[in-house]
Amino acid sequence: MDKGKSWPSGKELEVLRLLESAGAGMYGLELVEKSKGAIGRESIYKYLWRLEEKGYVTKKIPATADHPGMPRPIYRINGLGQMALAAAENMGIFGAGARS
Amino acid sequence: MIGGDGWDHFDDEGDYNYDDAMLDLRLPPQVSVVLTPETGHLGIVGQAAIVEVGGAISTSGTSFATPKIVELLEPPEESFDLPAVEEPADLLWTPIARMIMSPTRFREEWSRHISDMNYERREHLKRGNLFGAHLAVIRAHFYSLPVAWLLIPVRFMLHLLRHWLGI
Repeated sequence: MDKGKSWPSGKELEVLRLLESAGAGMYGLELVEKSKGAIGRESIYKYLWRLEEKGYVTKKIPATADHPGMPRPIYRINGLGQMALAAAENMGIFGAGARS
Repeated sequence: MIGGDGWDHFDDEGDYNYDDAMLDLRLPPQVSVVLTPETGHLGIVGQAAIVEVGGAISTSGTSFATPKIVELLEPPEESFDLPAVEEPADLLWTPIARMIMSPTRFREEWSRHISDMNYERREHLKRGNLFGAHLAVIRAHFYSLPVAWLLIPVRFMLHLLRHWLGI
């Protein structure tokens, strides 16, 4: 199966849901905070990287940062991600607690 | 030629290369000059003379200078308005990660943890919370470390244990 078109996993769908609820782009740490423990800080960038590879998320890296070092990227759900999320909701893939 | 009156007399007195106007030479006005460069500590003290000869004012060749140590103080403190450049913090095991991880994974995962750490550290430092800044660095070290890496010493210890126990 083509990795770029594979279906997002449960945690990845959770990340997509958080990104859609935010509307605007979000940083990785913001996603961890909004998930309220559902997504760990140690694995958030792994999920975001996978989602980006699969084409559900787009990433924007600011040209400058207000802190030393590399700027933090802002992640945003794209059209394909919204479609996948809608399909997952229609199929009832989300658990009962996931939509709370 | 010495004349009879005891004074020197020259026969070619009329051949001197000056005219009567040059006799109008007056004492030059002398001006004391003290030059002290701002960035140095050596001052030049001397005199400059303005000579008026026959209506023409000349300043050449009449000044002299004596170098003199004006002051022997410590150099003035130079203050540069350079912006304070804060070095970005890095994770201790970044070199190990760079060797083990693929370049893509290093860029997409590892460098994000470093950026988060720098962001959190900066935010704490803005509020003057030094403890929080240190904590942010430690927290980033903990979260960036893959769990599989923690299993390496555990496996090694188990291997030694089995060897010692003879299992």
